[in-house]
Order: sequence, then C-alpha cells, then structure tokens
Amino acid sequence: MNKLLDLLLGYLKGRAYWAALEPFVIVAVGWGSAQLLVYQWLTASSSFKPSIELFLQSYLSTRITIVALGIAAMILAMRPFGRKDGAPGPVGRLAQYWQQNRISVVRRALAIIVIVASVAVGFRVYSPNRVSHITVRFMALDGDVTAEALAYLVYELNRRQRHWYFNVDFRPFTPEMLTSAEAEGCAANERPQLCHALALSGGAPFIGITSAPLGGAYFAEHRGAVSAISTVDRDAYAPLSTYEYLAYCLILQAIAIHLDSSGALPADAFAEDRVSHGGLFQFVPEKQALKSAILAARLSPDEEALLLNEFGSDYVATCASLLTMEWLYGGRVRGNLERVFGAKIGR
Amino acid sequence: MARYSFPSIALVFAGVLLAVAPDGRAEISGSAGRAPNYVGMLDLANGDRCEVSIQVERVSFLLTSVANKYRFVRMLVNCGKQTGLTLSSAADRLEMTIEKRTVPAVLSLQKSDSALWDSLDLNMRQTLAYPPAIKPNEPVYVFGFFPADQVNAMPASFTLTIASLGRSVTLQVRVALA
Repeated sequence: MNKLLDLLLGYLKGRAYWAALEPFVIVAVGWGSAQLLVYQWLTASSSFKPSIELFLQSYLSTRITIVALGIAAMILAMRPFGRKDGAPGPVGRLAQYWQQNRISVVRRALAIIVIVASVAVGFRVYSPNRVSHITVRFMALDGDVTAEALAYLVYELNRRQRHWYFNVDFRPFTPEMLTSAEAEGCAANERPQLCHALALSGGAPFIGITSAPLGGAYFAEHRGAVSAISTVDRDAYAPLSTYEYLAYCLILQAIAIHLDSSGALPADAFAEDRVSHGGLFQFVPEKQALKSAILAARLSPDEEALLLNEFGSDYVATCASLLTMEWLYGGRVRGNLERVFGAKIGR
Repeated sequence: MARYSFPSIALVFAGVLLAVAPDGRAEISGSAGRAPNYVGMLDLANGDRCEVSIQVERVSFLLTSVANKYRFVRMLVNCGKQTGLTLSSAADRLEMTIEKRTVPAVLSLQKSDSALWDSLDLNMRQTLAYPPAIKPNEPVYVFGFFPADQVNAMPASFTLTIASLGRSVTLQVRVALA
C-alpha cells in the first residue's frame, strides 16, 4: 500500500501541475488521517464501537469532510496573484499592492467569508441535537408495584447517563387535577391515559405509568413529547416482572420522545407489522412477542446510525448499554430491589 | 477638642427616646396566642388509626378568601404504619359546625365551580385536588372550601366522613396544656 502511494506520488511529483496539485493532496491525506484518528478515538473512548461504514455515515465523518473541503476551497481562493502577462505581481508598499490587486483582494475576502460561513453552517447542520430531561409520573400502579422501587429503578437509569435524566414526580394522580374541559375530554377520549398524560405534561417531555388500559394500544402510546405506559397486560410479559417490563418501556419511550422532539422519529415507528427482526420501533400485534423484544433488546445498525447522527456517540453508547438490561440483572441493582423493596426480578 | 458633659449626653439620649416613642406603640398591637388546632382520630378496620387535624388561624381565616367566594382550610391526614385510606371527593364529606349551623365544604372545585378551578394553573390544581388515597405513614394535606358568605366566625368543630370506611370523625379543638 505504501509502495503504491510512493509510486503515485513519485509520478505526480514529476508532472508540471504538481505545484498546483500538492496542497490538495496534503488536504486529502489530512482528511484521511483525521477520519482514522477520530474513528480510533471514538472506539477507544466509548463502549460504542461503530463499524467503519456506520462511522463514515456519521456526523463526525461528515464534519471532517466539511472542514477538509473548506480548507481546499480556501487554498483555491488564496492561490498566488498573477498578472495578465503571467508575471508575478510586485510586492512593494501596501498602497501600491492594494492599487494593483484590490479587485482580487476583495474577491478573495468575500470568498473566504463565504467558505467560513459555509463550514459553520455545515457544522451546525451536522451537529447532534441536545436531548431533554423527561418527567416520569406514576399515574396509577398495581398493588404489588411500589413507587419507591420504581423510582429506584429510574434513578439507576439516571446513574448510567450524563447528558439527560428522568425526573420522578411522586404526586399521586387523580383526574380531578385536570381542568373541567380536560376531564370531560379525556373521559370521552378513546385513549384516556394518553389524554391524561398530555394534560399533565404541560407540553414538556413526559412519561405516565398507569395500571389502567390504554384504549388504543397494548403496552404504550406515544404522541409528540408524551408517552403513556400501561402495566395492565401483565400476562403478556410474564414471567418477566413489571419492573423489567417498565425499565425496557421507559428506555424505549425516552428514545421515541427524544427522536420525536428532533423530528427524526421514523414515520413507520410502532406501525403494526407481522414481520420483525426485533427492532426497537417495530410492533408485532402478537402480545407474547414483547418478551422476545425485551430479552433480546438491541439497536439495529440503522437505529445506531439514526441515534448517532441525531444525538451523538455518548447517547448511542448509553442506549445500547441500557437496552441490554445487564445493569438491572447485575448484583447490586437486583440485590437492592429484592432486599430493600421486596421486588423480585423474573429472570 | 470639645468635651461633652454628662447632662448634655443624657438630654440628647432622652430626646432620641422620645422621638421613636410613637413608633414603639405599634409593637403592642397585633395577635397573640396559638391558632386553635381541631383534632380527631379516625379508627380503621384493623385497629390502625388516622389522625386528622385542621389548624385555623383566626385572622387569616376570617380575612382571606378564594375569589371572594370560599374560605379554605388545610386538613392534615396522617394514617398509621399499616393501613392507608381510600378517598372520594364525590362521596366523602367535610362539614364545619359554626354557631350551631352546619356548613358543608366543597371538596371538588372542578365539579362545583369549574370556572374558578379552570382559572388556576396546573401546579395549583395539583396541590388543591382532593387526593384519591392516603398512604400509610405519609401525611397528606387535604383542602376544603367553605362558602365565604356562610362563614363569618370561628368554627366550633369539623366533621369528616369517609365513605370508603362508612365512618365519621369529629375534629374538636385540642386544649393546649401550658
């Protein structure tokens, strides 16, 4: 490989156009080196190990390309002045220099401004979005599920991430908290729990957990920044415990809320489909299939690419780690749940 | 350097005391004594009990009202370590006995006065809403709203009826031992 490169460079160096080409070759080599370095840094600094293909589709790779193109464009704009007769321009006093080159100087200054602005816009477009905190509220719980144990589960989720967290709202919910119009509207709504959650959210990211039936869905419903999760269908996820089920649903709904907030939730997310590979946003109407999805939860390459480009590498690493549920089955969390809260984990 | 004699210093000091004396008179007005605490014990089925109490501060109770329509009380319900309490704004009752009259409280403004209720923000509504249940060993404040035009004196007692228990408790002023 090195020999081939040396051969190619040796050939190019013998050509007349090498002087003009050389800076761009340097930029291209710099571009490749930067890609390699950032890829190495990403795999070394995080538990998330993207494939080369995924990395090249990521915002990180795109940003490196934008910078390289900007530098190349800058080199092009700053090439030496040449007079019409081909002789190099005189470099003398500033006034004389300006007199002779003012049109070129103005053009180049404008070109530099355009290039810098384009790079800045490119960076902005290919930046990961910030994710918001999410309020979790226990709207109604089954008798054997305690708010304290669930709150502990949520705090453990928070311990494993740096950039956002769940807030737990411990206030008990009653429809009497709603305005009269909201209460009437929700009572007549075919999705009453989601309606309650929307009213309680005040427009902010919100997940309501209820033991009541949802109306239009089996396990969870999502709209905009709000989700409602129901534990009513316990037979469908047994022998998994409600805590395992809720931990999975919370992570899934948090991802859905974050994606929806940035307008990136796939249009077919949670659409009914009889064929599934266990993807995060796939919904199979066979209720029992939920257990399979929980036990083998993962991010598919497409989902990894989506989350990486929307929220950055830390977010993907955190989600991938949370979804495996290893943190829940580990000795400390499991032990605390059983010993302190009397909550049994099914697996 | 001029030296001040003791009589001149005493004179100035006396003048200062006289000058502030009118302001000093204000400090002897105001309110004294403790706000009456109405207390009752609600017996639960398994021998457990809930303590129910309402503290009524005379001046703020008689002078303040909600939208010029209601005087409100804040009732603290503290159940024992084992048993909670199921509540219902529609079925439970809170009544005030005042000058040999009984005045019922509104427990759900959402149903009784939706215009006023809807004008409150979400946070206030969440605070004022009648709770669906009281958990064991977790004290909760419950709010009751009495028609202001029927309450113009301090209450003699309160009576709370919990439908889920089928029992009532009378809250009477607990005599403070000095």
